[in-house]
Amino acid sequence: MLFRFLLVAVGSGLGVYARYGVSQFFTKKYHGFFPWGTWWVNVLGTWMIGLFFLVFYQDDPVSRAWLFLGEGFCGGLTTFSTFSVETVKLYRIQKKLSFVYIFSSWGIGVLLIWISQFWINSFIVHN
Amino acid sequence: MMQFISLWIGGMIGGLLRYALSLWIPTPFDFPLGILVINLSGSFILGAFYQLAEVIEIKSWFRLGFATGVIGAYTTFSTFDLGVEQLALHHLVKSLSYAVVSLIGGPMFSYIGEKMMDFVSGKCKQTIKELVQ
Repeated sequence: MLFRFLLVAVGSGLGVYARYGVSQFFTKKYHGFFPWGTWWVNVLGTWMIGLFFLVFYQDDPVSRAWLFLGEGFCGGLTTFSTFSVETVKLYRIQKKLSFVYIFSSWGIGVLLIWISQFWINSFIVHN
Repeated sequence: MMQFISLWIGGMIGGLLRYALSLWIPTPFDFPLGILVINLSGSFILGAFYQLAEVIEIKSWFRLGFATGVIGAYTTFSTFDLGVEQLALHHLVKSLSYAVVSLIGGPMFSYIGEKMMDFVSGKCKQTIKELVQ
């Protein structure tokens, strides 16, 4: 049990570093007010957790790979709190864009998981 | 260097809190209540924290370690979105309500946190001013 917590903690720490790196990259490159850094980590992180879910979780919900990569890394990489704060900030500047931010963050992730699931399942069935 | 250590430690604490709470909070009728509570409370705390940082000076290593590290890792977008997708396979209505409550509730909780901290810090400032005079 203790080892499971350790896997999640270490994975989460690495995820936070990756998120910080991506947000620093966008702060330097992009000077507009759309929060691209959080948008990218959330969309890509959601896609990644979807793949880890299919490959590791479905076989064993407490597999080491799932705890480290899914619960840990993807959990630390993606964030809801910054997403919320940025949405409020964006809403104050441009109302419409804040809704685009909300629905694209949410919808693209779900769509990518759904496509991956469909693709992987049909791949497994046919082979 | 200090910033990297605080990010690392903060990220581990946040991840542990999330994992422990998500195991501890039940999932009534397959509804991922744990992640919802985590994301809404984290949004509230972060809104309040940024407002506090406007009023009092917070050291940059602590700001990074707490906001980006602890609260950033405590809340999660990936598990939320995965939950929406998985719920949609069997319970479409639950899945949609989970999505709407999270996506609208998160920003609302951030806003409430900000306003509450604004109110509290305003009161405190007044008290400090009165004490000084």
